[in-house]
Amino acid sequence: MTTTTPRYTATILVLILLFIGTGFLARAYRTERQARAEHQFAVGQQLNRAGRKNVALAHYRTALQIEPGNPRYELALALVLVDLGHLGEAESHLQELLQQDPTNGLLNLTMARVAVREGRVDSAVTYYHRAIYGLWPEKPNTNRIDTRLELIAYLAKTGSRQQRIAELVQLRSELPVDPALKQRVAGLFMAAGSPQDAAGLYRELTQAKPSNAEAWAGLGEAEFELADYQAAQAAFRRAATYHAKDPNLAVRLAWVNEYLSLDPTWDRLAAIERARRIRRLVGLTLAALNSCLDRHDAAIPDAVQTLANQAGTLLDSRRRVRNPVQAADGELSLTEQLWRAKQSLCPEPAGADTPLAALLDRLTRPPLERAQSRTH
Amino acid sequence: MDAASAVSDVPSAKRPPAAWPTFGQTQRFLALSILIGLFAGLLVVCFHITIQFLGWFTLGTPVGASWRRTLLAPAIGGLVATALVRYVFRKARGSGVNHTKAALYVYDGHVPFSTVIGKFLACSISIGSGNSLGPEDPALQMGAGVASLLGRLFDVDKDHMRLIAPVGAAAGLAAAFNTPITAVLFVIEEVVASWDAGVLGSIVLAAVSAVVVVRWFLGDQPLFHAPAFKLTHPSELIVYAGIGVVGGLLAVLFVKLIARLHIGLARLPKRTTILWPVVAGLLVGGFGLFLPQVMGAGYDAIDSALRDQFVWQTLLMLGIVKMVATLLCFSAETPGGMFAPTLFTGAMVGGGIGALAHLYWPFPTSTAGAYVLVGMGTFFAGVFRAPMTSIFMVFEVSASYEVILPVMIANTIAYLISRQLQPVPFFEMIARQEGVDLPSVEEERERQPMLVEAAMQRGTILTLSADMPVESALSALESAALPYGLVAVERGNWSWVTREDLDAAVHGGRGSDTIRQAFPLEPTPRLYPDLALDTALRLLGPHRLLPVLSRARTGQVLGILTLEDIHRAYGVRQADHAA
Repeated sequence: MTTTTPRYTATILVLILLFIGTGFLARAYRTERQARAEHQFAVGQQLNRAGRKNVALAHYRTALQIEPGNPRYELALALVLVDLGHLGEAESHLQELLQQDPTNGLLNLTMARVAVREGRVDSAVTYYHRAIYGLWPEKPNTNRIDTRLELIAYLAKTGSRQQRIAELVQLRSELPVDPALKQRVAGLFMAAGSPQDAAGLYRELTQAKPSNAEAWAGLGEAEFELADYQAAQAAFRRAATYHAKDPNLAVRLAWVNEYLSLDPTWDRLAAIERARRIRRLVGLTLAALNSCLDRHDAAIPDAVQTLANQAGTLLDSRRRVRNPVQAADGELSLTEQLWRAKQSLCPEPAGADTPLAALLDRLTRPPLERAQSRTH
Repeated sequence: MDAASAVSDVPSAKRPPAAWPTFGQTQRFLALSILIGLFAGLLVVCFHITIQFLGWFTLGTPVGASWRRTLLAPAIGGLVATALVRYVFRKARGSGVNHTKAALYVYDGHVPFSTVIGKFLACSISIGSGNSLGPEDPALQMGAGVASLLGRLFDVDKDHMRLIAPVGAAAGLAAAFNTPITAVLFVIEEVVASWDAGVLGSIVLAAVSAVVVVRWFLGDQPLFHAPAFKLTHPSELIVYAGIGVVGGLLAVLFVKLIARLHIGLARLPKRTTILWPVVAGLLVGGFGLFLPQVMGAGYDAIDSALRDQFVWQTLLMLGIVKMVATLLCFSAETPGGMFAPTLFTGAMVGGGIGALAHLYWPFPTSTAGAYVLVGMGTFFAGVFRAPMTSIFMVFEVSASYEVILPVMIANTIAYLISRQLQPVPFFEMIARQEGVDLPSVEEERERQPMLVEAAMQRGTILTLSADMPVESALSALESAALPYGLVAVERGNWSWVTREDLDAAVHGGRGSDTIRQAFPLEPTPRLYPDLALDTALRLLGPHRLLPVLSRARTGQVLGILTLEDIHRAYGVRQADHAA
C-alpha cells in the first residue's frame, strides 16, 4: 500500500491536470462553437429580414445544430418554420422551448398560431390564454391585448358567440386609455352581436370627445341594432354634423327618419298627428297588400278581400270622425290585420328591412314583446 | 474472485496506517471504477471536441460547404486514419467491442495504451472528415484502454483485472452516448454476460462518473430531442411491428453484405487495401453532395428527423444511403464505430414507414418523429443482437414510459428475425474475420445448463437414522441391495455411509455401536433438482453421493446424486473415465 500511495497521488495529479486541460479545451471549443453559431444566426436574421425565409431557415438550423439548445436560435427557427408552414417541426422546437419557459407569452402565442393552422381549436384557445396570461418582457399590456384581439378574431371564425363576447368583456375591462382601440373593441362587440356593450363603449368615446364622428356613427349603429331608433337618429345626426366617413350613414339616417315619421306609437305625439300617421300606415299597408295580391296567383281568401275593401273604403271616405283617437285605434288594428294578411300571402323576403316592414313587424308582435321593443 | 476478495478484506496487522484508507480489493476496485469513469469521461470529452474541430476544419459548416471539401475530405481522412492504425498503432485496428472481449477472455484485462492513442487519433480524423462511422465503439475501446492502464498502475489482482476492461468500456460508451443505462446494459449484454453484483456495481459507477464529467464540460443537452411520445391509436402497434420486420430484414442484409464484401475485398491484392478507405470516402463524399446528413455519425440528422424535418421519401433515402455508406466505410476498414450509423438507418427507415403510415394508414397515427424514435433501436437490435440495450436506449433517449411497448414489439421482432436469418452474430463474425475466436455472449446467455433433476436417482434411497446400530444398518443395506445409504443427522442435515464402511465396522467389533458413534458424520452439502449439474459436481467433491432435497419441504429427500450419475448425464463413457 505504501508503494501505491505515490501512484495514487500521481494519478490524482494527472487527473487534476487533465481536468484543467480539458477545461481549457472545452472553453476554446465553446468559444469557437458560439462564434460559428452566432455567425450563422446573424446571416439567418439578415436573410429573414430581407424576406428570404427559406434560406434563413437553413442558417437558423445550422446555428442550432452547432449550438443545440440555444433558446434564441431555436425561437428564431421556430418562428420562421411557422411562417413557412413547417408546422410539425416548428411545434417540436416550440414544445422544447416551452418546457424551459412555460410562461413565455410569445412562445405560447406562436404555439397557438400553429394550433390554429392545424385546426386544433381547443388547443389554440388554450395556448392563446397562456399567451395572454404569460410573461412578455416588452410591452406586456400591448402584447396581451393584441393576443386577445387575435384570439377574438380566431373565435369569430370558429368559436361560439358566447366565448367571443366573454373575451371581449374581459378585454374591455383591461383596455387602456386609447380611443382607437376602444372604438375597435366596440366594433368587435357589434360584430359579435352585442350592441348593448358596443353602445356603452361608443357612449364613453363620445363623452370623452364629442366631436368623434366615427364614435357617433358607431353609437347610431348600436342603437339601431337595439331598435332604439330615436337614439340612433340622434347619434346619426351628430355623426353627420361632424362629417363621419361612414358611407352608410346617409342611408341609415334616411331609414331612421322614415321609420320615425311613420311610427304612431310615440307617447308625446299629438292625437291628430297620430291619426294622420295611422291613416298613412293604412294606405301604405294596403298598397303593399295590393301589390302582393297582384302577384298572387291563387284565389284570394274572402277575409283578405274583405279587409282590403274595408281599408279602401276607409281611405276613400273623407268624412270627419267625432273621436279621432278612438277611430285611430280602430284604423291601427285594421293596419295590423292588413299586414298579417299580407305577410301570410307574401312574406317579406329575408333582408328586406324597410322602415314600414320593421315598424309593422313591431306593431303586430304580441303586446308584451312589443312593449319590450318600443322605441321610447 | 470472491475468495480472493474475502481474504484481502480481512484487516491485516502487517498493513501500516497508510495515508489512504485500507480498503479491500472489492472496495478498491469500486473506487478505481470511479477513477476510470472520470478518466474515460475526460478522454471522451477531448475526443468529441477533436471530432467537432476536425469536422469544422475539413467540411466547414453545412450551409454553403464547398463541394470539393465534401467530396474529398472523407477520402483523405479515411486514408490518413487507416494509415495510422495500419502502420503506427497496429493494435488499434478492429472492433472495440471485440478488443474489450479479448481483454476479458484472453489477455487478462490487458489493453495496450497505444490502442487508446491510436483510436483517438484515427477515429477523430475519420469521423471528423465525414466518413459514415460513429464515435461510440472507439470511445468504448478507449475507456477499456484507460481502465486497463489504471488497473496495471494500481496492481489490481488478476480476477479484478480481467473485469477492468468492461468497466472502462462502459464508461467510454456512456460518455460517448450520454446514456449511462444503455452503456451499462450493452456491456453486460454484449461483453460480460454476467449480472454479478460486484461487476455491475463497478460498471455502473464508472458509467455514471463518465457521464457526469461529460455533462460537466459539454453541458447536459440530451443527444436527441425526442418528441413527447403517445400511442395515437392501438392499430399503430401493427405499424411498429412492421418497422421491426423491416429493421430486422435490413439488419440481416447489412450483416450478410459486410460478410460478402469482406470476402470479396480479401481477394484483391494486399497492396490495394490502403486504397479501400479512399474509394469508400470518395463514395461517401459523393453521397454527401446530395445528402450531407449521411456524413459523419449523423446524430444531427436523427435529431432533425425526430423533429419531423423530413418527408417520407427523404427519410427512406437517407436510411438506405446511410446503410450503404456505412457498409463501404466499415468494409474498407476505415476506423470508426457502427453504433451511430445503425441508429441512423433504423431511425430513418422507421420514420419513413411511419410517415407513409401517417398519410395512408386508415386510422389516426402519430407523426414521423414517433416512428423515428421507435425505429432507431430496430436496426441496432438486428445488427448487434442486443435487444435489451436497444429497448433501454430508446427509453433512455426519449424519457417516456409510453414508448416502451412499441419499442419492445419492434425491437424484439427485429432481433428474432436477425437471429433466425443470420446464425452468426455480428461481433462474432467480425472477430472471426479478425482471426480471434471469442465466446459468443448470445450463445452463453441462451445456453441451457443441465440440471441435477436430469441426472439424479429417484426411488432407490435408503435413509438411516444416526442412532441406528451399525449391524442393523448393514443388514438394511444388504436386504435393499444398495451400496450406500443416507444418514439423517440433526436439523434436517444428511450424511452418508457405504456398505463397505459398515461391513468394516462390524468386522472391527463395532457392530453394536450406533452409526453416529462409529463414523464422524459430517453434514453433506445439499442439492436441489433445479441446481446446475456443474455446480453439483463442484459440491460433490470428496463425497460418494449427495442428497437431493425438496425446496418445498425442508429435509425431504427426493433422490441422490453420484459421480456416476453425472457422468451418465453428460455422456461420459465409463471406459474413458477409467482411463
